[in-house]
Amino acid sequence: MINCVSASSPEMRPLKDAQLGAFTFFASALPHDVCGSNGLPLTPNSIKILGRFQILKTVTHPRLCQYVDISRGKHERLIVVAEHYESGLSDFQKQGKTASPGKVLQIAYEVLEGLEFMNKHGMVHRALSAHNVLMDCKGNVKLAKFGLYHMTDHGADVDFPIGYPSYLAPEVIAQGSFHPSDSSHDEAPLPSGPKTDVWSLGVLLFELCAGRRLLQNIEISERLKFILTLGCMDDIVTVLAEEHGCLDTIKELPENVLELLRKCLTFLPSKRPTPAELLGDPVFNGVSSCYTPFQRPVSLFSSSLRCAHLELPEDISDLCKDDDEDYLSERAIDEVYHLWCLAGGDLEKELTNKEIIQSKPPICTLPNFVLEDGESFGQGRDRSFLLDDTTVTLSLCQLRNRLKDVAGEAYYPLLEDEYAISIPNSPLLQSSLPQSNSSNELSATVTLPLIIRERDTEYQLIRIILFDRLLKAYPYKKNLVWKEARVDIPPLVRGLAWAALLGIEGDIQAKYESIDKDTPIPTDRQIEVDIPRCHQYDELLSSPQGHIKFRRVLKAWVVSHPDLVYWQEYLTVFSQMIAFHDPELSNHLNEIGFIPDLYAIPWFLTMFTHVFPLHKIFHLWDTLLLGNSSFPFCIGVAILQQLRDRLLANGFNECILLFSDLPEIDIERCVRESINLFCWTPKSATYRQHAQPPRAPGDNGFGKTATYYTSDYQDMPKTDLCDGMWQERFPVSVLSTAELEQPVREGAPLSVYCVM
Amino acid sequence: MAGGSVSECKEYLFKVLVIGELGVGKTSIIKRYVHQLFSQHYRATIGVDFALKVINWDSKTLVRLQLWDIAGQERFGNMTRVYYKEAVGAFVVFDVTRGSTFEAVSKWKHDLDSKVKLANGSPIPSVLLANKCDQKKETSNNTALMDNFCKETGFLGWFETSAKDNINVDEAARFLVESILANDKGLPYEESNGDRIKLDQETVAAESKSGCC
Repeated sequence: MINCVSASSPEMRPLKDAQLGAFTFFASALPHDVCGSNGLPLTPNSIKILGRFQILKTVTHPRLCQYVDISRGKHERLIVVAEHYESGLSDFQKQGKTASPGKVLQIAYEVLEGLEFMNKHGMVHRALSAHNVLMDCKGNVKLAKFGLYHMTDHGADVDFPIGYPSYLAPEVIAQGSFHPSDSSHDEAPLPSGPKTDVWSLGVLLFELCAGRRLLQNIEISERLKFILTLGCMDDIVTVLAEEHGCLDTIKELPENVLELLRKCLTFLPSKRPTPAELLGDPVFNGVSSCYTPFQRPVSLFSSSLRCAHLELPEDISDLCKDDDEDYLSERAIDEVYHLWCLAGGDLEKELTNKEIIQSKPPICTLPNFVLEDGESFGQGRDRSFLLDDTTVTLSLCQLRNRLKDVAGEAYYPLLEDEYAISIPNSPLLQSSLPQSNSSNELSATVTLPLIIRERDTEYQLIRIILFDRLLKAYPYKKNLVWKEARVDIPPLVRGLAWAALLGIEGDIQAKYESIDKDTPIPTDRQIEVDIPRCHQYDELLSSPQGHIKFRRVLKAWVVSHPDLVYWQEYLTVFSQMIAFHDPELSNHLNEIGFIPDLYAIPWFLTMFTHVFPLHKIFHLWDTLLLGNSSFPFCIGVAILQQLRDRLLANGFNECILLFSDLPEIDIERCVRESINLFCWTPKSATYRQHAQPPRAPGDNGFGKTATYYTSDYQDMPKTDLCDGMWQERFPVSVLSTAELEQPVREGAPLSVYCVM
Repeated sequence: MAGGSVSECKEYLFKVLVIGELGVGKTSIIKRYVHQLFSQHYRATIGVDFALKVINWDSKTLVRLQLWDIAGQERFGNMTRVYYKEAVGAFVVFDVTRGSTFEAVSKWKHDLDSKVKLANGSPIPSVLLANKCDQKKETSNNTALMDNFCKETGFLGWFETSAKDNINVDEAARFLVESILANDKGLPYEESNGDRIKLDQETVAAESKSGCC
């Protein structure tokens, strides 16, 4: 069962014997007071890196250490969290042992598998070295730091060079070092290709065979010179062996290992093979048969059946043999990290404890003596800003301790447990929401405010497990997803949960990719103006990569939604809603001429994303997605009610100013009250002649593609107090589709989920 | 604030529109004028936004400018009628760094004149603002051309403005208010409400309907 679930997982692999590791570096600081050509301040390099990092989280392969998270600290510091192992090739070096030819071939093959996979994603490692080739407990290769070159824009955003001198390919050395701030270079060197990693691998393998490190005892500049002089040599492997006094050892190697070394250590890149070519090379004839090609796990949204090729062992009880009771390590690696943070994990603290982050009181960094021209004396170069690429293991003790009372069963809840579904005195009933089958002991937590629940480690663990299970069974368990979403949605799974609530099915990624997002359209200008002013306090949305992705999502959405929704009817219905629920307020607003046209357009046009910060929007949308097309009116009325006293006490001028700078809204109260209003609103009050008809089965907003299960769930959620009123879909627009051609549309956030 | 008759001071409330293409800096001009602030990061205006500026015009005159910051998106074509109602003055803004925004000026002006008029049927006074002049590249002098354009299109005048460097924003506003006041002689704000019985003094401030009807 455990294996079956993880095999179909659309997300990251379980933690297993891996650890969480963190390392840190600085992005290069930009000069102050410099603006870009558009007059806007330059984007900090750390933000650029943070944006580029995101794609790395999706690069999942058994030979690559999974990237998990990145965060920014002071002075352009970045901290990267990734899968980590304590052992690696540097162990061989420390012990001064040679590796057996078989082991060398195995390592070479596995490294190449990792490299080839990266290459397919348009990335190269460029920092391959013994301590970046880690090994799991079975001795399988796991490449670490493979994303550094990519996330730093080929090293352009950092002040340190990427790669280690002894392992650098000659063509990399020949390009010299490059600093964007250095005006003597006109343009950046071309990014390295896949073949540079093959050279580094050659050096690495040579060291394994020779049992010693290359070029250790000479200065860095001499090392680089030496590597360049190898271009004049006929037989680089022999020259290296002679230089390092290990000619005998090397000569004794089997011919295929020697051949592999020669191919890797080919001086000219044009003659050196790529990782993909090497994998198919006869030198691996004896090895390659032990490896099956990597099969990408079937994603949650795919046109093929997720468990069609599920292989169960002959004896089913084998699956239950995992009796070490370490249930936490069966959870996905990003999930464990999320919980680690909730349980009080602090990256900066961990790195400071290991003295990777060194902080000095600022006064100690002042120079003692400064000349008029700026030259200073009395302080050495601040070494704490130099690169220390040590990876620190994050201890899971605190987290495990926090979760020690969580029973094993909690990790594998029974979804169809009748008793759990109908706890008669569940506090959930009080909030007129249907019950959840979350554990009974947590029912006390359920009554706490949402922001507290979201920070509660046990509660989040239970909710994440439950949602994970339900989502894996999507769309079969769609009705349960709906029920649970009414309680709350764990932030970690929000993207998938929203997609499920929106009824996304089938290969949504392929549909997205098939949309033309490049041909210029009339809306381009609007998108171009709006993106740099949409929620730019958010690190991701303000990063250049975020802008690119966002632009593509918006274009895709505009292109695939040429139809219009009649808009002005919306505001009329909203006026009726105010009158129905609060006649006194309605009379006053009409009296002073403060009509919805003057304040409510951004509310509905952007589904409130224009008026609230992201963290509030998430909570609002968690509920919004559960309602039908009249639910937004209820939110509108709920907002007015929070401002009721001030609106009633004021005239037109004060009211318009109040809404120009909307006061703090208690979003949880707002959500609660809008659910209440929703349940009290007769359907006739919100009837709109031009509202979109309920969606046809199989139309999930990207055209009419047949999907499998939608019709089964057409009249699904009839169990709650609002009796089926939630089931109708409502129109949704994306973050700042505000600015797009057409006001209110359907199905947009799914694409946000898919690409962001 | 309700006791207009108590002092000799005349109070006026003028509704002034700020219109023009997307991203020309309408909101920035208003923020500069009303709050003496400038930021690169104003969000897009959706629908309409508001600001209020109180001007001590002279010892006897207090002017309240109700500035209606109207979204630049064309799709609000139908909505603008609601917004334009009872306006007594307007700024039409374009961006000197983008020619297309100037080309749209005539369209905005035409839209304005077709949807709102003074009580006497003449167009409401409007001023053209050539914004972002701090970023202007060429220094060619087309004053004569612009003067001519204003005459043809029916603008009272034009100003090169920069919300960023605070150039000409106050001057342009003063120029517009002067001509509104000239149109409005004899129709001070309080007196136009004389035919209403007020139960609640709070509602006074709300009378945007006053001014020119």
